[in-house]
Amino acid sequence: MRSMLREGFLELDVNGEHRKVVARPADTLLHVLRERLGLTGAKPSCKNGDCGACTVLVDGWPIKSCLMLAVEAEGHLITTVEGLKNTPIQKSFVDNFAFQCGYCTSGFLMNCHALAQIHPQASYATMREWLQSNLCRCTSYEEITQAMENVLLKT
Amino acid sequence: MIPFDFEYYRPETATEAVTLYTDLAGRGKNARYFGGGTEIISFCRLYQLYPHAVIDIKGIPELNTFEQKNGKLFIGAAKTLSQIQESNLFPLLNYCGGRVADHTIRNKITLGGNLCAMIPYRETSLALLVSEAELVIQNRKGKKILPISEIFHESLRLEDGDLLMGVHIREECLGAPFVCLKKTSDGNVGYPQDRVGYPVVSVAAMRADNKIQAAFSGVCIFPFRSRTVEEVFNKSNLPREEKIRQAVEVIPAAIHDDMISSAGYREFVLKSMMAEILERLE
Ligand SMILES: Cc1cc2nc3c(=O)[nH]c(=O)nc-3n(C[C@H](O)[C@H](O)[C@H](O)COP(=O)(O)OP(=O)(O)OC[C@H]3O[C@@H](n4cnc5c(N)ncnc54)[C@H](O)[C@@H]3O)c2cc1C
Ligand code: FES
Ligand code: FES
Repeated sequence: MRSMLREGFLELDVNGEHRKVVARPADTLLHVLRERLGLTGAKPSCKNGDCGACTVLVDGWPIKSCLMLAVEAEGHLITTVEGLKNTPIQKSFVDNFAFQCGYCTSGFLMNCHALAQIHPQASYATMREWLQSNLCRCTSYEEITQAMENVLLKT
Repeated sequence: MIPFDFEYYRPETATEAVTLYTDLAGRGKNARYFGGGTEIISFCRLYQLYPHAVIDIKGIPELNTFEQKNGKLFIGAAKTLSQIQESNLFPLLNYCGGRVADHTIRNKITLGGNLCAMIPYRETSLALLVSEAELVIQNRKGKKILPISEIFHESLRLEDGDLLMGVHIREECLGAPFVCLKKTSDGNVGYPQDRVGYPVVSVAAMRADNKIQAAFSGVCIFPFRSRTVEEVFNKSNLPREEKIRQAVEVIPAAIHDDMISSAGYREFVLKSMMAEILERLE
């Protein structure tokens, strides 16, 4: 049985790298990514599961990293926005001006990238259902939806 | 950030998990089974819960299975709401679970965690109440299987240390005709907020053995299935408007009045949902 009783070493697979990091059992994945590993792409905002700014991929599925303990992520493959390189969704966000201030963008990119990978031919209804998980205070929703649709249409 | 420490354990069997729970209790440590952890993490962050230890049950293979056997479907308690939705094995549960929180959180919320949640909505319970599911529970003394009607009264009445292993649903319920409706305080205002949120009213109804069975969340401060409401729904020769009037009179508690919705608006929504249930299932 795996146990972690106090602050100690955790081994995490992040963006294809094996990382050893000191954390507390009660530390969230969001906290460890940002404060211990310097991966600040996942953004803290509500920390309550509402906004999606902290979204990362765990084994390819979008997860709100404020609602996951870092220790839970052991043995799983974590991808943050720093791990996305020249993906179709990144290009599509640029082409469609799908952001303004950019604070929500990394969370949206992770969610959209996962959808394109898991359901490349997703219906409009499925796309809407997935996109509901993220909020954008600058209301770039139309452009984000367009960026996502363009990627789905091309696959 | 959770402002205090707790111990983390990830057992590999259910026996290990329940033994650990008892051992920790014997050492004066208050433990929590940890499914998706969405509620535990949120409540700990807000100082509304302070366990000494969490027992992560996602590593237990038995709690992570779908199995169809002896005329029943078994769904493990650690299955996430998204896994249940993607499996499409029990459409009514897909609908009830598929409107809890949002898609990304449903990748984390487990069936067991939603049924045992402290927040009162527990919307997956509606599908299990109307399909008369059986719950598989393990504790130090062994395993027991109980019909949900025996153990779900307002909430799941587990004893200290009970681990919910999963649920059995009879195969004939899997494809039965159903109606599943939810209204949030945002209503359907369009992307991105359509449907996301705690319910003003959430209902699940199924037609089985030629009768309508219905369960409700959001209406009172707890989810319920009421035989008295069903008796009214299933009366023959009573006009629909009269059925709705009588059904609202016999719901088991006062209609809830809070920030999400006034009692008056809840009653209005409830009545319109009852009309839709009767129209589609009578
Ligand atoms: C933003 C947001 C919106 C939400 N909206 C809704 C909504 O509209 N409707 C709705 O119904 N829910 C909603 N929820 C979900 C709900 O409130 C809980 O967060 C969720 O159901 C808990 O599931 P979990 O698997 O994460 O449980 P956990 O956080 O792991 O556990 C919750 C409780 O159940 C116990 N538990 C877990 N698994 C077991 C088991 N197998 N046996 C015994 N005890 C167990 C735990 O000890 C704990 O006490 C929402 C949550 C969030 C974050
Ligand atoms: S910071 Fe995680 S959902 Fe808002
Ligand atoms: S671009 Fe500013 S919050 Fe979305």
